[in-house]
Amino acid sequence: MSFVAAGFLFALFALAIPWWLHRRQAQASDPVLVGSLLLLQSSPAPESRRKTLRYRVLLALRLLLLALLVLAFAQPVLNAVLSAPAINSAPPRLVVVDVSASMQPYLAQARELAGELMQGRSALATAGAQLTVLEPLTADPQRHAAALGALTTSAASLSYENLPARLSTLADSLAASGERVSIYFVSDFQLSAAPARFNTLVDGITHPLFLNPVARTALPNWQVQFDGANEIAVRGTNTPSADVAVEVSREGEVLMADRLSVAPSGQVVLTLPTIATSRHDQRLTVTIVPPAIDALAADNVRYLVNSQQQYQPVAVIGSSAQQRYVRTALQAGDSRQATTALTAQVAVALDPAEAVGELGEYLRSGGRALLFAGADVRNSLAELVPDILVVDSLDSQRTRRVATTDNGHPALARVGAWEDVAVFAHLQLKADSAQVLARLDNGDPWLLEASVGLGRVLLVSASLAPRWTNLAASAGFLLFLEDALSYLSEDFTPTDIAAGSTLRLPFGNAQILNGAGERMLNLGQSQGAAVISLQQPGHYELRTAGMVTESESSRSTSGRRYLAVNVPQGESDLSLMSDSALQRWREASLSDADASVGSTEDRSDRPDASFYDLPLAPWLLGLALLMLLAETALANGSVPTPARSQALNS
Amino acid sequence: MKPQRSARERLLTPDVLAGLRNLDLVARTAVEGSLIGLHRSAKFGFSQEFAEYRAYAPGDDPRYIDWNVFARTDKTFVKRFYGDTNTQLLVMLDVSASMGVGGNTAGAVDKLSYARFAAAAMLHLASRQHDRAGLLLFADEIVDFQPPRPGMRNVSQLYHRLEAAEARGQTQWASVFETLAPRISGRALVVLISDFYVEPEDLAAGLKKLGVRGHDLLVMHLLAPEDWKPEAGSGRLVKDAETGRTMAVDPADFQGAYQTRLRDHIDQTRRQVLGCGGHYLQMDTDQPLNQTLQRYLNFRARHP
Repeated sequence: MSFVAAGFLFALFALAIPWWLHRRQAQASDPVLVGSLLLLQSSPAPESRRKTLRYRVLLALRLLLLALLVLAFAQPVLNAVLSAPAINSAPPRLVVVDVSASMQPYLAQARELAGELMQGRSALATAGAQLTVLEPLTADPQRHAAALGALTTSAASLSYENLPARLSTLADSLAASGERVSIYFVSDFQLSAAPARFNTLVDGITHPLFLNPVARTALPNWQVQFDGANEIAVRGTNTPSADVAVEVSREGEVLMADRLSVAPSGQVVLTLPTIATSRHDQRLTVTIVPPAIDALAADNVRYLVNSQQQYQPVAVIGSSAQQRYVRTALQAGDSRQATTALTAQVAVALDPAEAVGELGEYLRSGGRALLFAGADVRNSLAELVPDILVVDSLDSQRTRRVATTDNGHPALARVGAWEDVAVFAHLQLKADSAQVLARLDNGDPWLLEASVGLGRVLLVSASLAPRWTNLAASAGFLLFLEDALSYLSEDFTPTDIAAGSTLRLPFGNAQILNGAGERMLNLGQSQGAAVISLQQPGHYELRTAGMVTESESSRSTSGRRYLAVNVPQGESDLSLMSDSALQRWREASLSDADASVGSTEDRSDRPDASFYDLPLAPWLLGLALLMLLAETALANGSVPTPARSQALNS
Repeated sequence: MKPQRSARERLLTPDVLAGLRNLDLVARTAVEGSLIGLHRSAKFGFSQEFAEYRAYAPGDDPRYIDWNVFARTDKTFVKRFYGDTNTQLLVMLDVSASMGVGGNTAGAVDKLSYARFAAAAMLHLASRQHDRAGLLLFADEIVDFQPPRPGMRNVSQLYHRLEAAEARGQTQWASVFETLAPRISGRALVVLISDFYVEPEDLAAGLKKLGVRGHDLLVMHLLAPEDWKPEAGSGRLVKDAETGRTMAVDPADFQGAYQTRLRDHIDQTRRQVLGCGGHYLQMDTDQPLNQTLQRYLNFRARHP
């Protein structure tokens, strides 16, 4: 038997209260001291004995009632065993194994447990950065074994947030329509993967979900983390006091080597050595050599990039009033240099009526522009951006709001929902082959991305003037301006991402090379792929088409761009979810899935048996109710005195 | 509703006297407070200490006419003296465990404390009148005995003995009287203070042993509010303070039959005391001490 909320058991100390009250009452009924019994007459003794008996029964009832209530709140669960289910009649199983970085120490156990769980028609999938089906539903044991053999862990992280809903969707796709699938999730149930809101663990469950932990105690682990700025931290979780060797190298050259004494489950912060400025990005590697007991080796190396990127100058053309505003915004933001000539790699075009021809030529020859299209360019817009058709001249009937935004796009990653942007007038555009990144509440495109010759344009369907929109005054405008220009000038590339996270490639013409210089994408893939997921930690090199062809000396800011991919920080903390939290998840999962026969087996020691947890709280509450009724009857019932009995008899 | 007490009475309530701590001070406070406003004749007696002259009135003893004054003024005056009866006073105080009962009611003290105050006041009065004063404390045996002696110093010693008295033991009336009677030389005023939880016939047998020796007997029957209403708690068990024996009783009995039996007991005790030639006074521990002393003084006025 176990308790879901064992902390409530401390309330058993409250049993002392009725005991104390009864003692006090008993003391209050201690004999009254009188001068003499000479003038007193004794009354029959049986009534006193009856009173004593009643007193003791009442005390027992009250203590029992309180104990039952406390136990009910502690939610005891009886771990019972069901008879072995008939495999042929059992629903198909989807066994999902957590393959995040924290599962590396438990891979063998997970494989063994998954093998035991794969009975009858079963499918095997892995849950890491994304869900991957290794083997669809099949009853073939050989295919099961082959799929289990292919199980490997990744360096990516896994969050349990909305995972049950995603698993249910996966189960729907694997099984026949309407077929109930039992989902068995094998994981270490790492605490750092648990979401802040419990509801996200149970929302969207349509199939029974059984949780199968492979770990009961947290293992010791050493890690090195980059804490931002110029510092690294060597941390131990569940570790004893130890000396840890640290080495910092740049492009293979050792810059610093040290030995740090780390307290039990403590950390030591180390400042990186000053690195001279270079024309190119520099790859740094921080490596620690911890003591022998270290559960996770992948987080003993931290890859860093000393970025030397500089922002491109921006050409600002068009309405002079708006030009001043945008120049000020550029200075206030990334301190970009603003020019008026279209010689820079990227431009901001503010309804440039007189420069439409020049802007078209600029784009076709490879320039990139953020274009605010107002009334002045309305007539020449189809010529300027052939992929966009102007459906109607102008919509100024009513104020519009931004309804949808693609926040996965680098230009919109930080602006959020753009809720405070009001659009008083806009050009009604129809995207032909252009990509719509944001739409207004009437469905009209608000922000589009299109290719023009060798160039690219981000087009806003309104002028930046206040009579068109309050975008310039909105809270997210500066962020949008920075991100859009970074995106267009290819400055957007991050330098440090977590393994398993996706990277949006610049304009689809890019090459990714791993640390060994091997291409991660071939040319065909690089043309079509907009995003790529990097699973393995290490340094990667990013090359765009322009970079490859142009001479490095022709552009002062060009050169190799490196990307550091590391084990997600949360994966390094191997602390586990508490048993009570896991039990709560189990119960909620089964109740939400309306499982007719549930099996919340936490360890399939008997693969042919099913376990289920019988909640005892309702029974205890029922018993407590009976106790309450008995106590009420006994406490309020009068004990007839002899005189009263005589009166009744007469 | 309780009657309003005068300021003097409020000063002499048992709880106020209990706060004085010093028994000598208690006695002086009680006695002087009781004497204020009294007619002085109540205090005059056969002492050799001259007090005043008063015009002769019919009924006055002609032996006290001062003939020298008559010779000078041709008027008859009677010489008056402060009372000095030259009497022995022996206070017998029951200090058995039952005397420790009481003191739970507002304004009251336990019976032993009240008795201690009353005894101290009587001893003080005796010393003022140059009487010899003695003290006997008894329970299952004689706890302390000081034969009557004259002087304030003696009274001070008696105060100390009174203060040291503790309520314990069970009263053995027969043995106490048997032991005491031959130890009092000469006639004495014997003041017996107790709650008298004894069969009245047994008490009478003891009193007679004193009465036959010519002693004047004053029996002060002390009752606390708890004696009238012992149901202070909600329980049904009562415990004898002296024997420790417990007994289950019907709470309803306290309200009716018990009080009737107590009144009968008091009445029978009084009859037995009077039958032995003694005098009977009932004292309640929630009453001001001066009322008790008043009654004692009245008794002394009638029995100089």
